Amino acid sequence: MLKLLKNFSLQIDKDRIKQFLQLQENMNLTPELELILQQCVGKAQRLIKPQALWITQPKETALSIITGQKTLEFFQHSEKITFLAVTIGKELVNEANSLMQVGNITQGFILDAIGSDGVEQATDIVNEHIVKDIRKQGYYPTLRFSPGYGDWPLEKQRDLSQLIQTEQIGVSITNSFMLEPMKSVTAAIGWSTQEESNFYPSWSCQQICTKEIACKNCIKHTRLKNN
Amino acid sequence: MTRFLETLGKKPIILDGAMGTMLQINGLPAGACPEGWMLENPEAILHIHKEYLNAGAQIIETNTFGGSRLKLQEFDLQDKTVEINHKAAELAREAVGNEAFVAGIIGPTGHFPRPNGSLSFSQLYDVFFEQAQALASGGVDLIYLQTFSDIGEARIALLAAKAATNLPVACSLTYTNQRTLTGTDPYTGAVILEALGADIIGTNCSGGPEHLLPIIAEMKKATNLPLLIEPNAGLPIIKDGQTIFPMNPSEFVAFVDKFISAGATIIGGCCGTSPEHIRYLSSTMANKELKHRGILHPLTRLASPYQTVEISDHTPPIIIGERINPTARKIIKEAIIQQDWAQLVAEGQSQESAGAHLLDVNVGVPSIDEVEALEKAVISLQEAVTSPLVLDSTNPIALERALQSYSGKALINSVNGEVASLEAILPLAKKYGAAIIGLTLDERGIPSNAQERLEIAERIVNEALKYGISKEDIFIDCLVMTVGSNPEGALITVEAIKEIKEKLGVKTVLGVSNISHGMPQRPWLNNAFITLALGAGLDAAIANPLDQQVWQNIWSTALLVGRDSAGIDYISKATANDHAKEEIGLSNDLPSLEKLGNAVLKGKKKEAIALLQWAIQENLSPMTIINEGLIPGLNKIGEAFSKGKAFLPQLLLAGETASLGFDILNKELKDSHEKVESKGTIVLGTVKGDIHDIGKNIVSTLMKTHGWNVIDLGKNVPKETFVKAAIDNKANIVGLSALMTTTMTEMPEIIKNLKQTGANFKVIVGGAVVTQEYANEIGAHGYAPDAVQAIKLAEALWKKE
Repeated sequence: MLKLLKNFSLQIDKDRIKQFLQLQENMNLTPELELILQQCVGKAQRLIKPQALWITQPKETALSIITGQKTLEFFQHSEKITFLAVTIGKELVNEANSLMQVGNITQGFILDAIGSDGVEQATDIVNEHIVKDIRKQGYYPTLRFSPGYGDWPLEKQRDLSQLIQTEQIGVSITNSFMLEPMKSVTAAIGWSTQEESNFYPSWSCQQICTKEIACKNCIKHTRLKNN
Repeated sequence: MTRFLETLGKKPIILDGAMGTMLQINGLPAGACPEGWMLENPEAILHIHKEYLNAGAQIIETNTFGGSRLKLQEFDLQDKTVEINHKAAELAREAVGNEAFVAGIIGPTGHFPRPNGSLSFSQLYDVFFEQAQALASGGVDLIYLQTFSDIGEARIALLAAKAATNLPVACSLTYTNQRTLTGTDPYTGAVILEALGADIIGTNCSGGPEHLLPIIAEMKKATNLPLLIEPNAGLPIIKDGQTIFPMNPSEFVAFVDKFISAGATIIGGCCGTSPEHIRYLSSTMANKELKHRGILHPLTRLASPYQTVEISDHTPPIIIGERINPTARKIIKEAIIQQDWAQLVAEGQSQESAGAHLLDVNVGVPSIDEVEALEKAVISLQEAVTSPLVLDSTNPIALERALQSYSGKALINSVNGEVASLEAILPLAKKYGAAIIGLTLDERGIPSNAQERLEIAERIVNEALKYGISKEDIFIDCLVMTVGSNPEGALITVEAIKEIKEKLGVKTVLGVSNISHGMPQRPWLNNAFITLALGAGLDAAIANPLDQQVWQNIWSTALLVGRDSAGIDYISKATANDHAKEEIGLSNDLPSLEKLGNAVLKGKKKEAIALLQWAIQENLSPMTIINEGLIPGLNKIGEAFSKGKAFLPQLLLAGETASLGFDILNKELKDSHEKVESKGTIVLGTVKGDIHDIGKNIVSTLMKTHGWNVIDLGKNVPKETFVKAAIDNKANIVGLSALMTTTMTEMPEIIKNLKQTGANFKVIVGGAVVTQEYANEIGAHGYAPDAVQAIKLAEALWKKE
């Protein structure tokens, strides 16, 4: 059965945003940028409207969506799969775009970064909620995996979206298999019968880093590596 | 009921450990429903319960975490809900006899009540009621609501469990970084659950012992109730192909002393714990005594799901925002009739931004269905504001529905001294854990003197106490009429406030704006009256928080009447604007174009504008200002960025600052014969199918500030549009951006089409997935990894003769 969650709590963490702004270590924001960041955080708090949908399917049913030899290996010990979609809505993206259009490019860029962090964080929160459920029922969660990672074709985004009925939370798929609004994520988490690795397999990681939207997964990867 | 609760209080009590993993060890097939499997395999369940009993657990948890109708439905077992829960309780009882207590476990349904999810109060209530009743019939000693991640759902489960049984109910929330999934902090969670009548409050799952420790410590600050804690045994990791729980049993129990110090009374284990963990727990706890926690003084507290507001005699009075009220506000009245809840939400948000502590919600328009309107308004507001709500209605049905839908601890506005009002509304306040405002009027109307108002207030307080509502949850509103028709009224009200505060010791509240009804310059009177009322001890003013004067009155009077010790609040409010006033403009040093360049470099817009105006006044030519001021600044930031010494937002802000400068100079240039020569024309866009255009936007803006004529075609641009724009604008360069492997294939198509025109357009490409190799492969003239490189590349490819 499809599960819906709206308006859950996101805490905008400036340090994480600095990571998204590609701020390297030992670099501090100038006072001017601190002020802009502060204003953007205030705006984002009003504009971010997190929503999520998820559904758990038996492995056999899930196989119509999960394809690719390596990806299937990733889920080989999973008995069930939870498919999820998370979005922060379109308001933040729209605002970032209109700021850029009037030449307020710094604010637009920072707001966009907050949105990237926001959808990542929202997905982490939903992920953790699902993981709790998985563990409570005596299973072990896999890391979350998205169409486009490794050999899981991005085209499967469409089937996944249809299954979760993402239109319920206002998420659609473009002809080039992108999610709209942009700050949205779809993914799968496996219910494994054995403890799974805390690291993405190297084959998927290389793929993620060189072929797909690089930064956020890399941060995630580094974070996991550091832990 | 008492038997279990009586055992609490002297020694810490041991709960059992994880069920899911034990079921698998004992043969639960993968993918099977744990509760359904139990019906066929009762011996396995008995065995697990006995293992935990033998390990020393004093409370055994039934195998019913997923036993609600909604969860069982996922396995098509909903018709067995009663049987499963009854049987699970019986099995636990059979396994432990009288050697341990049995806790009937109720877990979340996986669905959420509105506004976070789609289920109504009654849909969830019925589900929990059924499960609690079945567990009770099977003989459990208490109901234990476990692993709730939404206070709304926990609240409904608690209300249902209390209604379905007369057993004690424990309620445990699960947290990530000190917030539940839907945003409730531990303190607020405890305030709301205690108000609803939970017997035990706690936290489970969420992480290892170290993660739960600060949560339980926060809960202890909020409540005198016994606290429960059930951490995971850390999160398992894989080492050399083996599953290892980072926290072995001895490490797990190393936290016991800290738990007890933090206030925990009941301690057990969640995911990753085994009978071995419980055995260690049992031997560690055998000779532990509970620490005396110290009794918290009762406090007046209201809560939204996201925060608690406390009202005390030692802190400044609070403001209840009055503006969501159709009386005398046409826009609100119209919004309610049109069911335009967004209008109410906007009104709530603006009051909250202005600092309102609580928000009054009144939808009383005669022609509408108040029951439905109040519920919808509350659900909409709950989504969008964090201030606790004040439910302003005298209709008990409307109030009950609103109380069901509101996940916080609300304030009911209002009950009065009439018997009918007391009998209808006080039970609702008790049941739903709300505080009340009591109006000093009764069947005879509003008394004209303070003494009789006191008498009515006393009657309200006594009746409320009889219903089990605590004194701290009672506010009295002494009422005031407009001074226009009732010149003595103000002072009578002030006297009544004083009397009631002194004799009854309850909180006082007042709709102060009534004083000026029908009078000119209403804010004058409102503010004078607020000061008088605050002087008499008023705790909460229902007022307009958008009126800054109201705040200044509150902050000042709070200091004068001793509700702001050491003036901390006053000083911080009174000096809040000082930082903003600091001058950002010119320093004492002499202005120069070099300084202008530095202002651009650092993105100091105000300073840059001041320096520009100085330069213009000095009659420096615009081209000199550009070439010796703005451009060097831009070059420096570009260099720093290329070397990794500045980062993108700095680059952007410098670009913005420079373009402000160009705008000003362009206006100047219009008056002279000089002209800023464009470096060339670039047509820029994100290819068809690609809707990511932030990188392209950055390139576009920075190229403009570097003197390029930029034709920005936007995103998702078809190849024909690129070609046409390039021809029409006589472009020197065409810039293509793509972010996805699925869309970058458009690039070679566009290049082909551009070549076919016969014109010599130079094509540069970029975007996350694009590489130099790819650029070479598709015959682009260049590739740029970032905006600064794009500018350099463009300048290298096209130099004006």
